[in-house]
Amino acid sequence: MSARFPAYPRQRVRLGTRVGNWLLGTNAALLFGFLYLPVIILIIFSFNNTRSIAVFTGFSTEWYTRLAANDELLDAARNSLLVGLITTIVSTVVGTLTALAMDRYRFKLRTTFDANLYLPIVIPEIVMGIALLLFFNQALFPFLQNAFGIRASTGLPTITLSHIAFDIPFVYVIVRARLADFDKTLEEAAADLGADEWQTFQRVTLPLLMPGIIGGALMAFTLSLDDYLITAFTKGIREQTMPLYIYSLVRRGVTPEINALSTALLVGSIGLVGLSLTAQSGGAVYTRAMSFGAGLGLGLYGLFALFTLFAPGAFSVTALVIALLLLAGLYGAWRAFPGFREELHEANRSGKMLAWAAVVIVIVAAYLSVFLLLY
Amino acid sequence: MFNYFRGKKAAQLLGLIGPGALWMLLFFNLPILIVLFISFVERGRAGGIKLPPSYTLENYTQFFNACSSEFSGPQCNPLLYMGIFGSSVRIGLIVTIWCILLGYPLAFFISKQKPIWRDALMVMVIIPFWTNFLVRTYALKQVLATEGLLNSFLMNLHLINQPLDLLFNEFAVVVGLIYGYIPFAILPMYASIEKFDHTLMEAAADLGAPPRKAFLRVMLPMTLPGVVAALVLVFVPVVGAFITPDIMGGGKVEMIGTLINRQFGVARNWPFGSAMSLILMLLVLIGVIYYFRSSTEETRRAM
Repeated sequence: MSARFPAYPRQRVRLGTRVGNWLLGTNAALLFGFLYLPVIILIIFSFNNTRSIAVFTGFSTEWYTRLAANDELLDAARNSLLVGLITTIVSTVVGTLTALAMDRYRFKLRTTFDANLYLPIVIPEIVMGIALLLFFNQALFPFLQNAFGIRASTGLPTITLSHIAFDIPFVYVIVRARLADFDKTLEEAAADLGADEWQTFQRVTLPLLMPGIIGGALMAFTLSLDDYLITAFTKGIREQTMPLYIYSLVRRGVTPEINALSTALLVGSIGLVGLSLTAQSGGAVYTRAMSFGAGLGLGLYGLFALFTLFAPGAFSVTALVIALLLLAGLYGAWRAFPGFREELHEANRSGKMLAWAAVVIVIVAAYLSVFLLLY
Repeated sequence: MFNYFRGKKAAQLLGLIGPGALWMLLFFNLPILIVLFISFVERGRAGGIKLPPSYTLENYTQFFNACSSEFSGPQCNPLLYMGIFGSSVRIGLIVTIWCILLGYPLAFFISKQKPIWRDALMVMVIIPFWTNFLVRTYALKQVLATEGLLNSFLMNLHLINQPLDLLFNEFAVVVGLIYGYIPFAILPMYASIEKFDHTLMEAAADLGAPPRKAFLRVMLPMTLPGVVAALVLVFVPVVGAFITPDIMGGGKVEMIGTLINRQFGVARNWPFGSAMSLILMLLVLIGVIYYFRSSTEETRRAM
């Protein structure tokens, strides 16, 4: 009996848990250290004033100023941004439409198509990369040559086409998850109140889906911006993107310039994660904050561009048109502001702070993007 | 009337699904079919494929017997490619096991914290997902480099006299892969453990089970779906990884990913590269299908 029921089982358990808790805590600390220390070290040494990656000899921003003067890098950044923006717009629209179709309609081969949409997410990236390489070189280009006499080659357009192909599934999955939690009675209520199908979609469905759509768009943008492997297989001879450029540097060795570049990228992606998580956490205030911020960022650059037109010899019609188009962002921000303020009124304290942070981040991001694209 | 309505509905459906379906067919399914086609033709003399195409099974037999190709030299190892596949699977398993052994206790630890800490720690697990994979791998490479921080730290402590070779070997690749993919293991295990009712462990203790037995007989079986999900989510990308073995292995560690990549680079053997890609894809799909069969909708959505 005593073997099966120890005299003081509780005490033994407690002692065990104390040691166990200590071990668990140590494991957690070590793992988080393992995950984060290399990145923190990378950031610290990007401010080092010598080339050493082991001894911090003094603070300097030398490596960052070198980055800003590096034309090759700026070209790569511009290409990445261009590919990323087009990819995001197309894959968000197409992915959302697909998610709506799969959620609302029943048809033949529906489950097959669903599985097919998951495939690009699960198969190794290298397989998709070589598949696209072979498709472009062995099928599409020969076809264009024979049928239309067009001589095509790989470059930014093929990179963009490929990025859209792997981003559509991700947008699809995120929007579909949002649709699964969707309360369909709201649409019925809109119909009962006399709204037609289009009005219902525009006024009820779309605003409710917006957090998922924005989350999907930011995910698509991040994936496109970060992708190395598929880009490497579909790139042309001349144009580079940011990951291609970093890869070529990393293969050559370890330098403080890469640290500075990596830190800049880290800051960018952390901003994107923050935006994506706040957008998906729901609350119309965040989506409004983001559209308000985007309008403001674009508009501010428009103002800046307008002023530079007055510099002697700088005037051109194209520059004027671009500046005016960007100024339309200010109008958009002005239109978006009342809605934003209304939502802000209902948000709690931390919600307000997050919303304003989102506005600031989006302004900076929009301004910098346009700057880089038009520079 | 009914037919008219049906027609309109079909047109709507076509308008919604058309762009996505077309894009996927053109830029995903068709390319995979082309890989399948090219894996069955002979290679050209100067790379590419032989024209007009002549069909052959050689690319697959070459995988199982590396000496079957006319290009193989006199000192060839028939099991060369099988060996690389085997070592990729071995590396994949080592990485997966480490990720689970380290990740499970962490997931358990996080699930026991107060809600506010729990959320903060989970955000810390998620952040690496969103940061550039290349940048993270580079960060680790920098720490492990010969002139890097770890070596100089150990030398300053006089634990070692000369720098250790921590880079460009299998150890570096395994550490790099664990570093890159452990978040994929933590998330699903956390989702399972969080739902686990911890009072069951107390019940087991009250019934006289020592902690180890209670864990093995109660908690582990009930959180097994999360562990299986972690296994698949880590193993699948690790087996086909290219960036980590390339950067951390420095060309000295061969995995399937680097082998396939070489067929499209210096080796210029597209048909053989295609055949290996398909074999890799098959291997991965078996894992994924097993995962979907064994897991419920609920655990997958928790991801």
